[in-house]
Amino acid sequence: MGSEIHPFVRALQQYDVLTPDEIQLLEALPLKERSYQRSEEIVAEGERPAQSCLLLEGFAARTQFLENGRRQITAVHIAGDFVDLHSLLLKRMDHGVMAFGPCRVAFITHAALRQVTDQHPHLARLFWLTTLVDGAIQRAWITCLGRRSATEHLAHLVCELFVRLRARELVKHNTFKFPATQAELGDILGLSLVHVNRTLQDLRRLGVLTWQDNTITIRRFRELAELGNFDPAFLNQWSEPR
Amino acid sequence: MPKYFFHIDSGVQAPDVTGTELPDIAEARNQAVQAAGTMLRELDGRFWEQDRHSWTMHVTDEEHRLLFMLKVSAETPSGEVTYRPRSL
Repeated sequence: MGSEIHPFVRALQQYDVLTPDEIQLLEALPLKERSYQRSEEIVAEGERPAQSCLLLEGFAARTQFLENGRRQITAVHIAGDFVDLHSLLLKRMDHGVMAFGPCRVAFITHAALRQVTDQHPHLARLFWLTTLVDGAIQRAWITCLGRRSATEHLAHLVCELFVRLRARELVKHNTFKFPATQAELGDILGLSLVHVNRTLQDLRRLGVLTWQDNTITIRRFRELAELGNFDPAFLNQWSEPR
Repeated sequence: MPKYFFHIDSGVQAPDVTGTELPDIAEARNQAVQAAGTMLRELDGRFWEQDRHSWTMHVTDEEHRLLFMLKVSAETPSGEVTYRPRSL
């Protein structure tokens, strides 16, 4: 059971050094594992969960549904993200969490998390930091949604995913899996299917990436980053005392 | 699902090579308007840089049959012209 939480331990180590005691404590947390199929709901909007979910493998998305059945994907989470740490303090979910492609999650009870945060202020700060980084990503998304062109936005998104996944050692030879349909991309970018399709064609034509069967390969990262005006600083990926 | 192609001409031609699968022409019409809106927003000041001051989307089926087109164009009067909406 212990090593199952390893993706999260590694995620925290992006930001700061963990002591052996802290690692041991995280490894001893009681986990309840569960696998989900593509598009399955993990946490429902409006729910009051008594546990938080941590993503072990695959992708998850936060979603908000509109009255007319349309939806916006407000965040994409990768393996090692403590996706639903929010519910520990927010109590009532203002958004849903769904499996973005098949994924595996671990549930940890709020009681167990409360115990960790009560007794280990450094870990509590790092938990807090992960939600702050979620907030930083959200700000970048808002700026993209409000002010960037479709090409800039998609380039920015791909750069962000690439840099986040690379830090978790989930990128091989500049290639990673991203199981998004064009409709789902539209729900992330706030664009119609037709515009998403067009934007993908533009990026392919520029030769900065290939994107086939849910697999993205970055051909020229610098050029892609320039296209998206991407600066990775907001991801806070450096280790220092926090 | 049938495939629809949305070719753009904003002074420079940007053909749609892959097309998009959509349930029917009604959805193609909706998608065309939505895409036109966001594409025009992106075009921004560049709309005025080309001589014709117009933007066109030709929507075809897989056999290149033209189904409809959307067009946005600017016209600037050559002399002095006044315009008042009816309520003023």
